[in-house]
Order: sequence, then C-alpha cells, then structure tokens
Amino acid sequence: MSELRWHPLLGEWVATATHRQDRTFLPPEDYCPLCPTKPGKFPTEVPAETYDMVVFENKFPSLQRNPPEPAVEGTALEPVEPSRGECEVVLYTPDHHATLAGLPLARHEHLVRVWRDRTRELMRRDDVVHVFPFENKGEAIGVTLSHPHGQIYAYPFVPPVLAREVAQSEAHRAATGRCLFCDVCARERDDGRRIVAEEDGWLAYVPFFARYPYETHLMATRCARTLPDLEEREVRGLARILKRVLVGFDALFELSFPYIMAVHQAPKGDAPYHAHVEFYPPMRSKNRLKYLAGSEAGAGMFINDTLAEEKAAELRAKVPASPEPAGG
Amino acid sequence: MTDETPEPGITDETPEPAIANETPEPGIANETPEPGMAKERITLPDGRYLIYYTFDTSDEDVVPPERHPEPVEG
Repeated sequence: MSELRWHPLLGEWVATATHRQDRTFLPPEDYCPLCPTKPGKFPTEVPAETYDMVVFENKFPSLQRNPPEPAVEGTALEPVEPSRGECEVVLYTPDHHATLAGLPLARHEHLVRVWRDRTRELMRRDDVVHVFPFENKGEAIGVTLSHPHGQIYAYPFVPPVLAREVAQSEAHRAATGRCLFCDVCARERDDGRRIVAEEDGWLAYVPFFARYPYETHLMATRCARTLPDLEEREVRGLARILKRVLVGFDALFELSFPYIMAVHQAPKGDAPYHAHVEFYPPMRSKNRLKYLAGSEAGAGMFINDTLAEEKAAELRAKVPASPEPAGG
Repeated sequence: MTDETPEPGITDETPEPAIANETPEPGIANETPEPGMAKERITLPDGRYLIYYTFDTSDEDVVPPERHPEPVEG
C-alpha cells in the first residue's frame, strides 16, 4: 500500500508506504546493494564494476513517478492522493567504508553539482513542487545501509518545514521590508560567538535558536534561493565549508559523527529564501544521544540542554582552517 | 521585542491540501550541465532509471583523513 493521507489536525500529508518494511537492513559488506557489481559476485543496484557518483530511483520509495492508485478511499475530511513524486538515492563513492567527511574536497564539489543537476531536472516536472536532498548518517540516526549515500525527495507539495520557513520569510519581508535570512546572517556576524566557519558566499554557525546541541547551519550569505541559483564561487564555497564542518564534527569526539543533513532550498514560486544546509546531530556528548521525547514529538517544542554559544566554540575549535590537509 | 520582528504567532489560515498531480515526464535531458560533469542515463531491468555521473576533476591524489569509529551509546 502506498498513498498520501491528509492529516486534518496538523494540515499536512502523511505518506503510507508499507513496502518499505521489506527493505534491506544493514546487510554484510559482501551483500551491500550500493557497492559496484563485481564479476561473479552478488548483483547490486549498480550494474558496473566501479563508478564515480550515481543517482538512481529508490527501490523502496515513499513517493513515486508512477504511483499506484490509493488502496483506501479518502473523505472530504481526510483526502487521499497517489504518492506522486520521486525518491532518489545518491551514491557518493564506490568505497563502502568511506564517509562524506573523509572524502576528498573534489567529491564535495561533485556532490553539490549533482544536487544542482537533480534539482534542475526534477523541478521541471509538473508533479514536483519542491526538491529536498538529505543524508541520514550513522546507526544512531537509523540508517539501514552503511554505504556512504544520500537521498533526494521530490515532493508534489511544499513539505511542512519548508512551508513554515517560507511563511516566516514572507511575514518578515512584509513586516520589515528585509530578507529574514540576510537578517539572521547579519545577527550571527554581529554577535560572532556562534560562527563556526566562513567561506566564499557561506557562513556556518550554530544558530542562536539551536534545537540540537550541535545543530549547525551552512547559510548562503546572499539571496540565492536554490542550489541552481548559486554562482560558481558559491558552489566551490559550499563544497569547502561542507567539508570543513564535517571534518570538525568527526573531530569533536574522535568518532564518525552521526547526523541528519537537510539541504533546504526554495520551492517553486518566488518566496524570499536562501539555500542552506541544516545539520541535526543526535549526539549531546561522546556517549549520550539526544532523543526526541514528549515535548519535542508531542508538542513540537524542542528543549536544548546546552548553550549554542558553548557548542559553537567546541565545534569551531575542531573545524580545520582549510578543507584539505596541509600539502593536500 | 522590536517593531522590526514579526510576532512569532500562529496564523489563522487553514492549510490547503494542495498537491501537484500532473503526469510527470521522465528522462528529461539536462540542458545546463555542470562544468566538467558528464552523465549517462540507463534503465534498470525493473524500469527504474540510474544515472552515472562522472567528473573531469580528479580526487585520486588527495589522501583522505583517518576514519573514525561509530559512536557507542553508554
């Protein structure tokens, strides 16, 4: 069964995708479906002996190019729609044991270019309103495949978090005549205590309003609404600041830092917006995880047990000054 | 709170269950390729698409930093 069911209490869509229960769960390396297919070995998702980067349609999608008709009937109160859209998998490297943090800087730039290419192509579709690249990294986040990869969802509607950001941006513009994202960048620069890194066109900081102990935002410093809107220098700047922050994360506790990486860009339309990347790491210390509990899950109010200023100082001390090691 | 900052209030607008449902056009060619990037699109046996991306710039000569272990909750 696969369909979109309307949640009338929250005013948002919920995807039902029961086929995902059968998806591969932490297979041994020899049976990793994201590795290249080696001669005489287990056939993987990629029918090639090696690759640079690969994008393919998810075998267990929540949203589909040609979705089945809903298996249930909706009502005026609770409409049901086919789960139209797209779910893609992005393979960063054929190296099963790599992580995005450990890959050379060139791969971060390649990844940004793949995100831009996919955004352009998917946004041309009439059934797509918003394109969302993201990565779930680490078993603490609940990944089912350890091979380094991300995902791209193309939604047929503006998903709730983006809709709220756009609404806030439009409200701020109406109230002040200014761009909300520019004002947030200016405030972080004026204060300075939460800034983690800076590159051409990008600012990395633990936001004043951080909901997770090491929540970090990589924000375009000018009004580039989407990834394809970025200038060449900004593409390279994003790659550099992405690499530096990821290396800093791993250095915090000398472990492979788990995170959710959410790439936010404007949906179709003309709302004022800045493309940016948000990281939600679940770690609150080396051996402690932050769980979403009663207030967060049940009421929507996050409780952060730490100060953004202190966590930013910890992370800033670990972020390298350059994305590549000396001599690299 | 200054008069420059909008109230963090909740709007009274009812969200619309708006959804785009036009028939998609799969496999549209990329009209604006990224510099140094090439892509080859194939169709897998089950009908899904797969795109191989390759890049001119090499990362072969850069040594990645050390790898870190996964966290263990205690």
